[in-house]
Amino acid sequence: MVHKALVGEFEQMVLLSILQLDEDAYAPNLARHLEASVKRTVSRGALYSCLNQLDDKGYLRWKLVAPTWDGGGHTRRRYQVTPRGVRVLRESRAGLLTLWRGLEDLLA
Amino acid sequence: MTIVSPPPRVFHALLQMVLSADGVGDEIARDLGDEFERDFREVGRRIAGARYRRRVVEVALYYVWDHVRGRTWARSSQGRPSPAPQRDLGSEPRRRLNMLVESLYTLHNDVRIAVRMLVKRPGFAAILTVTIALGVGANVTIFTLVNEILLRPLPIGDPQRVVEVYADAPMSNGFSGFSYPDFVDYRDRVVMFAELAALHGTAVRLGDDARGQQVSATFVTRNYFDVLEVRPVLGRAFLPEETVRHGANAVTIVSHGFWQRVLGGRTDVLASPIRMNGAPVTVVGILPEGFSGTFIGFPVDVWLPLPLAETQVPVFDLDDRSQETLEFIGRLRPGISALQASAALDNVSGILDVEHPIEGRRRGVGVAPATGVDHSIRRGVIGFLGVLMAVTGIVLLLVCLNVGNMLMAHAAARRREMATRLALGARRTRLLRQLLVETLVVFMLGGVAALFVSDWATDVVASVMPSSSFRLAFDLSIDWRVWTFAVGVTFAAACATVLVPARETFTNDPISALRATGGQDDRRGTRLRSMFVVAQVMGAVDLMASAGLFLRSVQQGTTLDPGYDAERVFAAVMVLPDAQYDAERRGAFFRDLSDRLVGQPEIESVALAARPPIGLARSTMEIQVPAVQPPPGETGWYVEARQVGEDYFATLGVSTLSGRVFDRKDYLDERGVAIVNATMARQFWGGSDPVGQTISRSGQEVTIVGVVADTRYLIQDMVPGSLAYLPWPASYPERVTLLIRAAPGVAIAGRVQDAIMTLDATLPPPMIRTVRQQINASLLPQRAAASVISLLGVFGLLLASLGVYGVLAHAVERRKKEIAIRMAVGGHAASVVGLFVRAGLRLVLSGLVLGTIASLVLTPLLRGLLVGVEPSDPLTFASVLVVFLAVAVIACLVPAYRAVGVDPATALRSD
Repeated sequence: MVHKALVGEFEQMVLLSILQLDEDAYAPNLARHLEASVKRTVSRGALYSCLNQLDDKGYLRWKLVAPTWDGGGHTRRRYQVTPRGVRVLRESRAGLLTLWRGLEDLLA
Repeated sequence: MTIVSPPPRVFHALLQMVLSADGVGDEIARDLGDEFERDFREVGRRIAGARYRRRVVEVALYYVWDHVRGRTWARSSQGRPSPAPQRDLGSEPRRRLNMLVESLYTLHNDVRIAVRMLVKRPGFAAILTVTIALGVGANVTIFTLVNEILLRPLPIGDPQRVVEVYADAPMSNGFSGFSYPDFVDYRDRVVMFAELAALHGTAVRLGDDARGQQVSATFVTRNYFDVLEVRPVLGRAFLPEETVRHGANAVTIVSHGFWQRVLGGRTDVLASPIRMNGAPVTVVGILPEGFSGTFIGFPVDVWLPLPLAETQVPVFDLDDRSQETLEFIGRLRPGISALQASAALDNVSGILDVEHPIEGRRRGVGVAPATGVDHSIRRGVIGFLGVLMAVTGIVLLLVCLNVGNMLMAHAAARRREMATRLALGARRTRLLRQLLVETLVVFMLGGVAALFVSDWATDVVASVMPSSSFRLAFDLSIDWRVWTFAVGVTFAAACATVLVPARETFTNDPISALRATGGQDDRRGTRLRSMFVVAQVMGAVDLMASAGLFLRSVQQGTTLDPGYDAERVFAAVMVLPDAQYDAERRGAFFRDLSDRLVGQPEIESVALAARPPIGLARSTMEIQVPAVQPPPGETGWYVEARQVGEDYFATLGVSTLSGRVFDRKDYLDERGVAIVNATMARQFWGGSDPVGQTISRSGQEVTIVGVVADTRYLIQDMVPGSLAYLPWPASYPERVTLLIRAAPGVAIAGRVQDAIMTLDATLPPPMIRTVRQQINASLLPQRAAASVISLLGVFGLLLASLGVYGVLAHAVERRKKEIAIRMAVGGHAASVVGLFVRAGLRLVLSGLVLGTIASLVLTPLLRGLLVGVEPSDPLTFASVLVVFLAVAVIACLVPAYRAVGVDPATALRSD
């Protein structure tokens, strides 16, 4: 089955980071994780905008977490990828792997 | 343990304020605060602060951008977007701030796109910038002059209350002064003034030597600086005992410019004497920088007490009521209007005319605001500057047309882009705003460059000022008025320019625009551009015609035939001071001088006269002619009158038509005789010989003894009027004009000055010039106008030529395929060239015809400024047409020859 809606590169990166960080998927952590992973500065404005878009598309959801001592002592928003989001990541990955086939020597 | 400072407060507040409408400001601020804290610990405050600021700006910009696209960041507790009303939670200022931020973001984007467009086409940008810079720069330059002469108030206290007092004399050029006894009477009898002061402007020589540097001086009554509310910044004002006759010390107050220029800016100059006209004068005060008197363009260097004029100025007599050489300036009392003051002055003037009648004097007295420009010439000055502003306005119009044409061509190339955006739902107002921003960016660049152009041009204007016995100087600095004008005219020109390409782009149906292929003819756009070119040619013809008329004026003025050989007659104004010469000594001096000069080789004749034989000022007298009734309401006829000495007519070389010239007995016996010119003879005696006839002057009978040929005595009058010559009294007055007739091509100035020095070394050497040189010096306004308008005319011609070239180049581009087919099937290059040249010349000829008609309607407005040439001068117009056609043919030939250079194969392959 082909999903008509696809995700952009940055949207994929954000969803993957959320999955990677799991219980620590707060916006500041996402930003730091992305910068460490792709070795470039991530615009916070782009990040928040992207999170809103992904929320609008239904690929993630969020939950307000009660303050903790190591959490800055204030309420924070923790993000989680929805099943729909996981599905679209799989399809995107499948599509990319198809395109990558035969190019392992060149691009590995 | 590291103590973490809070993040930068301003950016923190900005973030909360910008994002508060969606209720996410606090949350994101906390997230960024957490990151700041972490960075603070890891990399220190400075880098943490820089990162924080950058992140805040990024978040704010993305927030605004998402809002522009209709995406809110608000979230309900269920994780879905909250409804819009959250944005109206009693935060009207925040909502307005958000709208402002959105607008600024859009503007920032539009400016970025416009700059990118210009960077991609540097040649196009450069042409636009230079064109706009020249057009706006010309307007700013002339406005700088207008600002200095007409708008900038005098640097005095409360200038609205300060007025100049004038006296109107009939049949003169309007200037008539007052005497010191007049001043005392007006001061004592007119209560409308808080203070009334008198002044006398002249020149004094520094040092003891008669050849010392001449500086501009004004002799003033004690309260002069009180009237103007101007105080010395160094030293003091005049003391009462210094401003009375035979006062304590001879003192002076100097201008800041004089202090710097002549006295070296020395701080020890106060209380130290300087020499003026050979006498010691002590400097007691230095005036503020920027104040140089009350006459714009004629800066005063030194001020002295009025009584000192009796020793410093030849023949100055404070008691002589007939010596009307003073001007008045006054400060009105609070609540008193200029009208009330005028009425009071006029009333007193009538009383004084009865109490102290002076022959031939009949005048009204009034006040005018002290604007720095004498009221008698203010109208003429306004007219002159108005002409210059109108001319530069035409130039700016041509610039707008030219830039509009270029932008239209650019817009035509973007029609598909605009049509696509319209079809996708973009609002026309949004696209229009983008176009306006692009035009504004171009005009801003041009406007900035215009300031440099104006700066250079004002230096040129200042250098055009002639050297004369009086220093002529204007302060052409840029103040807030000039800045406002520069910004305003740039903005107005941009708005006017954008309308046409915008209209052209947006009135077309997007669908048809999307269907259009690349080479299709845009008939409407081409027609509009052609109309623009015709309008440009019209404007350029107006400019060139005006320039031509002023050039012809200068040429006519410098070559005018006064009725005698102006190259062989020299004139010099000489003054023999009363303090040193009585009437007998004066007569002996001139006789000796005449003998010395006539005895020299190449000097043929010497004569004296009351004034130079030709000039700009009138001098009239009232006469009654028997059997010739004066005009209704008048008691007599006003004719020009000149007092002349022996050998006057022989020195000038004016022929006698009837009767005789004056002989010695006429002068010695002071007979009532006169000589008239041919025009006066015709006017009053028709065809008959007036010799022997009598006229009446001031109740005395005067007999006509001769008729001489007409001569030009007023530069501005092409046809001489009635003129009567009277013999000069044997006791010469203090100021005379020395006339010398020399052999052709001989320079005699040095010999004359040596002869004067031999007789009296203390006399200042007069300026000796030929009559021709005097005439040339009088033509300053015409020279200035000719210089400025010629430059603008050439610029207008260039713009119009560029316009013609642009239209034809566009036509060549559009018709590339057609030309390629013609050439491919054996067409001649000449026929292609002829095709485009004819098209171009049709435009030019239309513009020439319309421009000539417009000029014939407008140039009569210049009549008062022209000398010796009619506003519809055929030679001027013919020259303009020939020059224009020649340049237009070249402008047509260039693109036409490019057309035949098109490679048929390439053209046919292109889309």
